[in-house]
Amino acid sequence: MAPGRALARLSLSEIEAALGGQGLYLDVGLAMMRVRGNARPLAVQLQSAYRHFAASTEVTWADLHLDIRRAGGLRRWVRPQVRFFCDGDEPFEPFRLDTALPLLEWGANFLIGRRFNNTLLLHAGVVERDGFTLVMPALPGSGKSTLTAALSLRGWRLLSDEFGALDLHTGSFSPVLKPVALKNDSIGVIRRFAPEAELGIEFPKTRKGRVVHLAPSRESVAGLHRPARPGAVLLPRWQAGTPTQLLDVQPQMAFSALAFNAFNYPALGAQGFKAAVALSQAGPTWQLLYSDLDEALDRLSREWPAVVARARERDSAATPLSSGDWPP
Amino acid sequence: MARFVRAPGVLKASLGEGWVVFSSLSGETHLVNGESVAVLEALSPEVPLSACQVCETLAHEYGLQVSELEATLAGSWGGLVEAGLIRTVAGP
Repeated sequence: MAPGRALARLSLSEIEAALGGQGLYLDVGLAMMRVRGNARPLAVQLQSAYRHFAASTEVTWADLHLDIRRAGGLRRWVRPQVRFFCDGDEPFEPFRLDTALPLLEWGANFLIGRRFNNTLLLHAGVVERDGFTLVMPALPGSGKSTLTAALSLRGWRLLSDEFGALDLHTGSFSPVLKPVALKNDSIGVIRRFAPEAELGIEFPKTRKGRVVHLAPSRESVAGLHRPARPGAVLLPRWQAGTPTQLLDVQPQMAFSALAFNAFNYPALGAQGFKAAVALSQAGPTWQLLYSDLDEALDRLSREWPAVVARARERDSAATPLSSGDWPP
Repeated sequence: MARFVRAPGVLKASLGEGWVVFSSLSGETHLVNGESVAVLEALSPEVPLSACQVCETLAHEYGLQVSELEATLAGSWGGLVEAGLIRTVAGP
């Protein structure tokens, strides 16, 4: 396979051959994933969700070695299943055979969330505009994925739907770019919001309900290795019938939402504390109450130039981050 | 009379109207008020001070009555000890 061809341009037989051989290497920014497997639906499902990602079989290093295997024995014939392996471990129970991609995504996210302690790994959606990030911590009922998807479909660059990887040395966010997993009602919301959205195969019966993956755009994939500086923190809440409101909240609330939802905050100790404090002080924190996506996005777009101006001023006044840890 | 020291490795940061404090020993983070931070700042890890001495120091610093501060801080000591941010020191 020629290195660097987008998955959408490969034939299914090429993808299947890679999965069954040395593995298919997918660069998601923070991590290089090596995917192998013999579960037949995986090739078409991967191609659909990762269509703009460059795929290769010739990379020599991978951070995550993911293996999706069809279950043997009786399970080959009766309610066929797939199993997920990584480094010889099988951390989850098998899934139905036709949900190979959700199992792969679940497994990859599980592993990413347990590694990469050179970053404060927030559980958050992250998008970027004008070089600065809007970070949306994953609070219950926040609709983080819906809003992240909607923003990415209106010109904001998607860095991640799941991980806010704040580099502890530079203070910038690194992309951890993977498909956005839309669940249940949010699937219809995004279909109506952006009929042109590149949505993948629908998985009607996963353990989290109905799931469809939104493929990251070409532009977001092109920015896989382009970090972005902190801009603002957003705590969204969808409420039926409510007019759009963007309210300032105390940075203490941002700290709680960021630090206590991070995957590795306890492991990082004082370094994690300092990073979470610095991020909470880096820009405004808003609570967004909304019922209409278009209105909400318009409101955010109107506020954004002020965020960018403030962040540029902050960055130009700061000591150059040429060495040492961030924050100093 | 009980005397107190600040636990080693305590970090604090002001966030808007509140404070967050991190204990390097326990790895725990606490959201605290300004009164508790004043106590932490008045104490050191090395020199034990009684609650009365801390109140005198802070009263002098902020131009307040000692009795007024004793009443204000009365609720802080137990919580700070329980959180492991300050420690009681035995002996004279």
